[in-house]
Amino acid sequence: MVSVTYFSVDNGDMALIELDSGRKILVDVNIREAADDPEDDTPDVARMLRERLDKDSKTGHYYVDAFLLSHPDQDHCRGLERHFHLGPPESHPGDDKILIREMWSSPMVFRRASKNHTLCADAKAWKKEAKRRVQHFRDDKPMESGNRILILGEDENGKTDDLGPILVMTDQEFRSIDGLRDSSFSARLLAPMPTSDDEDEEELLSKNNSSVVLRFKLSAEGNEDACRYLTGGDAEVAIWERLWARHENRPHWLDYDLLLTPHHCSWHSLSRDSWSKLGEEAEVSPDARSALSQARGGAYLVSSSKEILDDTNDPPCIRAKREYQTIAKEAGGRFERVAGPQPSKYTISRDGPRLKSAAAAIGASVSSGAIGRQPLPHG
Amino acid sequence: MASVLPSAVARAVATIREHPAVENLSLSTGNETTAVVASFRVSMPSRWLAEGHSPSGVRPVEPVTLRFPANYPLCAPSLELRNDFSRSHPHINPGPEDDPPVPCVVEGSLTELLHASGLESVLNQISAWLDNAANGTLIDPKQGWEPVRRDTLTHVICADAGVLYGRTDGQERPWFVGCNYWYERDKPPGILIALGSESFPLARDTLGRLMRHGDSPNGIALGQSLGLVAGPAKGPDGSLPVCCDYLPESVATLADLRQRAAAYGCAAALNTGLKLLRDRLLEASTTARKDYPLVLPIVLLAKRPFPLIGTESPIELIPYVVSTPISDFCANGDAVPVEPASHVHTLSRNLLRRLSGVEDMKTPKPWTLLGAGSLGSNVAISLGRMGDGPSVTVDNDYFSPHNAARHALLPDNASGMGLLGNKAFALQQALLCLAQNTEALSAHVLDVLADPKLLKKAVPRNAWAVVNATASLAVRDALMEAAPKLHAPVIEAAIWGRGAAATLLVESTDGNPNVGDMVAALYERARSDSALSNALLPGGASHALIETGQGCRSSTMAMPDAVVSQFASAMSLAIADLRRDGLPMATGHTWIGLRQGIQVQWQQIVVQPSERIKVEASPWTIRIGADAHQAISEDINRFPGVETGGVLMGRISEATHTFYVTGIVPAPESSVRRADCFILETKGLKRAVERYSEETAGALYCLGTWHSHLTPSGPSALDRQTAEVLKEWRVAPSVMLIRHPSGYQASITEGIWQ
Repeated sequence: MVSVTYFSVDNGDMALIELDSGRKILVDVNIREAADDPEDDTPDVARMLRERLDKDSKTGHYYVDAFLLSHPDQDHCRGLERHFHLGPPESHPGDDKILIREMWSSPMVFRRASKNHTLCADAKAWKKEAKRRVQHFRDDKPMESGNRILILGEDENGKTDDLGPILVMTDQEFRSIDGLRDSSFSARLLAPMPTSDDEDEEELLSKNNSSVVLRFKLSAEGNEDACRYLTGGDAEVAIWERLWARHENRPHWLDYDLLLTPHHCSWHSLSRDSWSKLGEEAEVSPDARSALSQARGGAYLVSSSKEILDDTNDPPCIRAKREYQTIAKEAGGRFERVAGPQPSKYTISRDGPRLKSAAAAIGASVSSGAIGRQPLPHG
Repeated sequence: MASVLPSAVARAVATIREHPAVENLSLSTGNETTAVVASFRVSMPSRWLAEGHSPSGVRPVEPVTLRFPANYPLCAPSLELRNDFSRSHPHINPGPEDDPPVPCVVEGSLTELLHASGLESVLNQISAWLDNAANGTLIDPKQGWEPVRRDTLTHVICADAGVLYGRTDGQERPWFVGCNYWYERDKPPGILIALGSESFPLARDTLGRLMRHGDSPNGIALGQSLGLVAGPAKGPDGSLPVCCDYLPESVATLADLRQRAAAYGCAAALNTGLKLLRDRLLEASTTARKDYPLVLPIVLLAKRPFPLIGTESPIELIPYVVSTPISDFCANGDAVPVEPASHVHTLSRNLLRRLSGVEDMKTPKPWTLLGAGSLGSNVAISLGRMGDGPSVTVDNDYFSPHNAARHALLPDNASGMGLLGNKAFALQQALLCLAQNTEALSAHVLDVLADPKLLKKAVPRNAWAVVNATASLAVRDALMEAAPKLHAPVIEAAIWGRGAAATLLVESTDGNPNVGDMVAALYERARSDSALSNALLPGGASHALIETGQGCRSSTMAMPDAVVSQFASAMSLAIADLRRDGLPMATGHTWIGLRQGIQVQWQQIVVQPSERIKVEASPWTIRIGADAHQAISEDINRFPGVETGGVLMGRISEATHTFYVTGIVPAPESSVRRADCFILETKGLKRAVERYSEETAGALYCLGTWHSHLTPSGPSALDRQTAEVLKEWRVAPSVMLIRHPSGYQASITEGIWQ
């Protein structure tokens, strides 16, 4: 069944897209070590992920068909080294590490370290593996599962010019996964966008703003356009403003039935003002809002974040939530948070995505004649 | 508001408010009840959210009224949907059109769910129900098609569903069948109808022959009538039309019924049938008969996209009843009132199997019950209730008053004597009530086993097994004697020591081990198990017999029916498992149930096959139990290069000429073991043999001696001399067993006075 499943990872992203073809695309991971401790309440998302993955029929290894790292921040790649096989596929040690058949990476991997570009160990591991796969391509070796990579967006300084077949250009729509065309999806690369000289490079080159922004079209039950899904990592307001500027005349490039609200429902994706300093005085950027409000009827807007409290925190930000709730209401849709501990699974039918209603924990209160569960006698 | 609420309801309101699917709620209190209207968020795809409703009419937010009764939380709140919620969903309880629709959110009782899992669970069920209603998934193909709800209807039609499924040959013809009906005249209408299975053409004289109606003085109306079954007609492609729409029951007149039949594809058969029936009634009805009541059950058959819940058939039976004077039926056209009825299955083997939760057997092999006494009748009825009663029952005894204490059947009150005739025939009648035909043989089991004709009748060639519940040692021996002619393994059920224990012995399908081996092994086991020994072996108070009449031959032990039933239940389960999984091959299975107070502890033991030695030029056979065989081998291994030996223990069946060797008494240390001979020292041996025997209250005893030869050979001259000596010692036959590297050899000595 076609679906998008969000794992409960607090302020972080981790989503699994299951296509009608059966292929699976993982977008970011935030697998915290605390999840390994059975005494800890952190959901064991690594186990939950594996439960949803297939094993290669020949090797018996878990695999994802594609892994998109939106940007190399800790809360988007935590746990990569521990849970994923990095290196040539033939060097897989045979444990339960997950093989990434094809990496989908931003061109950040070609960037040198700078004050805006410090990487955590998992991000470094991603970069190393991405470079290995790019080199594999450059060495003209046969590209097969486990060695494949797509670079999403051109890098500055021409570092990606020779990547041809493994490079997806900004605004380009692609339909292949792990080297094969897959008619059950398409994805348009909206960002990262090429920079121009008159822009504030410093701002645009930050890690958050290097986020890959993709708008998927997922087919289900014979409807090629069953669900449009917009996901943009931690892209901030400047990116969304630029996106609106570029696509104002073709807003359907940005429209969605399902939106992962950027940066864990952060105010910084909607406004250049500080929520903690200005509070209600802070103003929404009209262009960013326009970019993020192309909701189709009944759209779901999802926040992958901690509980959104009415305080000065950001992210998640209560003011951003209110804004997204308004967008949802205008579209007759819904704003939802990945509340956990179980993943939030949006199943996609020909009529769009839907989230199964949440159930209450049994025996959570003493409101009935019975407390908790009782064995059932039979007479 | 909450302060005036009963505290349990106030807590319930808080729980509802906290439920993740509830957006908001409002309260109203009335006479002794509190109504909470909770708005549930319903899961649906984005496009339906945008449209404001699902294709099935469910809205993104649905109000559900939970009406808390005064006795909440003893009883669950009742549930109501909004008045205009579509009733075209499965799992909506049938009810008047004017009342709000009531969702059926749980299979079973909502009150029980409340007590089992709390109000959260009830709310979760409501939420899941609404999600499913919105998404058209209230019917789960894995679970099966939910039939149109008719469980609260007062008319009941009892019919064999299997026969009705067969009425779907796709022809546009009606099927007429006979029926019997019953109702109470002064009570609200509720007609019980038993529909026959045989169909017949509606000839001119059919109605006159068939229709009867009688009003008895006690207010009961009884009668015979005919029923009309209408199946779907084949489409142009030759297949039956499949009706995927769930149509809530709303038929009130013949016109409605015709419309409904059209939706199910059975209009042609129904209309033809009704027209023919009207014509025949008009032909047959004289003036005097015009007010004659007509009770007409009508069953529509609808083909669903997948099998109905709990069945393997996609055919749904949708029954109705017309109950009106003949004149009105003929005169009122389509305005004739029609009332929906519910269907119950005719009692059948399959129904019993389904209700018992046991797998259906396509062609169950017959099995024979020997002995329809307390234990036998309980096992037969218990298995009969599982749809798998015996095919043949053999018992020549009659049901005496004392049998009433423990027999599964009840005495015939009408006789005033507490009698029920022959037990086999009584059991046959009882099993007939469970829709099973059992052959009854009123003959003594020993006579049956001795007579080839009777034996063939009692144990058909394809018999699965013979269950011996006679508690007769003679029958046990006779069964072993008859083994070559039986073609079926024996299962022996027995209760011991006034209900202190019970055993179920299941011999191997290849006859090794047989029941004789297993009984001997059981005695051997009792030597080291005092509880089993106390229960099994004679000598204690637990074995006292009850006097049931002067000179009565019955050897009946005193114990309540509850004890017999308790053992019989477990035995029936074990037999049912064997029927499902198959009988053991090359091993025997012994179940031992030991009672302690109200508890019975059952253990299952696997009995290995015996070594079988046929004595040349003699009727005797020696069967060496696996443990005894091992003990002999171990003794030989202890003394390599020399002959060794000892005393054989076990039992003898004179009737079957069999020695059952269960163990050995080792030779005293002072015995002589040499390469050319073994001399058994007798000093101290007698006491050891006696102790062995005493430990089994005499059930096991000395059978003779065994010794080893270093090469394959028969008895030596010395052996023959010893045998002559042994012969003088006792009247009972003795065995002299020789174990050599290639196997066993034996000779028998009998001290027969000549």
